[in-house]
Amino acid sequence: MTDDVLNLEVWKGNWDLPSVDNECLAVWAYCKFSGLPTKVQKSHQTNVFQSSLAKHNLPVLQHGSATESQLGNILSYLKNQGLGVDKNLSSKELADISAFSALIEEKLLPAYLHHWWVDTDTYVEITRPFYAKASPFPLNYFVPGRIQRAAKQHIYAPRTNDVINDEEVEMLVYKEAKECLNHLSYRLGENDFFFGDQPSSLDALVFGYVAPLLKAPLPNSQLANHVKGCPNLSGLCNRILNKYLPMSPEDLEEKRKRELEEMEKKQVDSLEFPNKRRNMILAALFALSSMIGYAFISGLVGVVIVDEGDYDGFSGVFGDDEGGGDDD
Amino acid sequence: MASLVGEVMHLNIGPTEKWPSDVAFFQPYQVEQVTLPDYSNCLAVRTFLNMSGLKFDLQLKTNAEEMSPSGRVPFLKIGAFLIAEFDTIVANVNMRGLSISAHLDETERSEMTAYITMVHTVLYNAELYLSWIDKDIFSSTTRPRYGSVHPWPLSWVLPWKRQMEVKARLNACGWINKTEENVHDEIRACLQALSDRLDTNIYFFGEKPTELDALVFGHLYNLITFQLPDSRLTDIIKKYKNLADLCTRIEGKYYRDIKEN
Repeated sequence: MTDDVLNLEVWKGNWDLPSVDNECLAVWAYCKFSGLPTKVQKSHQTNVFQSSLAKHNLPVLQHGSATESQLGNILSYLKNQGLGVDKNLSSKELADISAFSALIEEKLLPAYLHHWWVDTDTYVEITRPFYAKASPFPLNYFVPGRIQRAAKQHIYAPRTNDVINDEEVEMLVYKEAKECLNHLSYRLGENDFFFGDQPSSLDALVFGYVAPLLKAPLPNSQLANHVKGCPNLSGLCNRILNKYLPMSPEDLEEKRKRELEEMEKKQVDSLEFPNKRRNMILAALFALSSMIGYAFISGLVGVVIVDEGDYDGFSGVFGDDEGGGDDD
Repeated sequence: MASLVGEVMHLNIGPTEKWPSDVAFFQPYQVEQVTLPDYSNCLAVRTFLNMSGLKFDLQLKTNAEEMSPSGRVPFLKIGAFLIAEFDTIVANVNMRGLSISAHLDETERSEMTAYITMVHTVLYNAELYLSWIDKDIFSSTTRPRYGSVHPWPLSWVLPWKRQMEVKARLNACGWINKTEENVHDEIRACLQALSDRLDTNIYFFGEKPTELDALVFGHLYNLITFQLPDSRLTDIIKKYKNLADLCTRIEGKYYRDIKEN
């Protein structure tokens, strides 16, 4: 079984990270720690489509005939197969992993979800555009909204009741998340990894959360700032990135391309400036002509008066003639 | 859930007295009314206060849940403050300098917090699932008990309303789609971790009990003794001998001895 290649599907990367999603990063890092032969496929249109239809969330792991999605399921699958570095740990260390995983899921995840999916600035500027671009038409209109709804439910449903409102919940989840990061930082201490020299699934899990917070260009985020204030956590993150998930040549190529594209886009933007003015003038003309057209049709402008004038003039002339005739 | 207003008030004013003599502990009626998850929490807090050697006056109220500042039981009245639920009560006691885990270093305290969170999430969610989602237990135990103090239409409406809240909570954390077997597996995994951590020690962190011991005792003792239609859960717990011994030890030291005195 160990010779079989693992097929892993993940959300694609950005900001020098191999993937932007915390679960994808964690699974990927864990496979690398364990030295498992892994073939990684970054989300392209068809597999997002398939996984959306199957209501799977990425990451998805295929191994032989088995398919597992989501971090917890994948880790327990690997454990049941006897794969992964965690098998070298003692039972007490495994117990610690369960406890800290529960701590992270309960205290850090809600604030993390709030940060990416509910906080308006981050959602509009970073999260929604990214996930929309990574999904195919027409799913790009639905995928971000669907994940956002799930995130909101995850944050608020267990906490809000008659006596505590959404704003209080937000304050609470951020406070708990910061405490959780502190606990992780204390537990890590001066060590290279949580359990000595060898990384474990807990390192992978923490890496998944910390890396996007450190690398993403976030305008102003209390969570990211707090992570930056825990030097040993950012040290852990960089250690894992350098040693296990360095940028591949294709990633570097893609990054260069993206930078070039952005440069070109900027130039095009500045070239487009006169066109914009022309468009504005055209729009103004169009608006003006349609307003005038409307005024004509609804009879606000004196067309009728002009018509009547003509008619009056005509009938007047006619009348005058007739009148004149009568007079004569 | 912490009451933030209460917390902020505490930070600003600070506790004036170490532990007043008239602290009252509010919980629903133990024999007729309280549900399985609520009673685990009540028992955990009581054990914690007993371990800390803090005196309190136990008050049984049919409407304890409505009286509580967070909407959950148990809650304490300490001087002018109402403080609800395990975490907040423990934090409050610690703030008064009466902590029973002061001898732990930072790493150990972080580990303790992690285990406390694990017990809170896994065992509490499992108890919620069993008592509110499991149809047999809900109709035979939870609904009659929860509704027992209300007259007829309310004795159906209020349990139903609470059931909706529990469903929303379990749905958000993905527990609603689990089968009973899955829930038992989760409990087993949690107990395995606790048992491995406890190993052959007297308490989780050495010779002295901590809040983690109180919380584990609250949940496990309650799961063993609460009258459920079948005994599968009790059998699961009894397999973890060192945890069952821990419960016996704590019960002997912090309940029987106190009664005898």
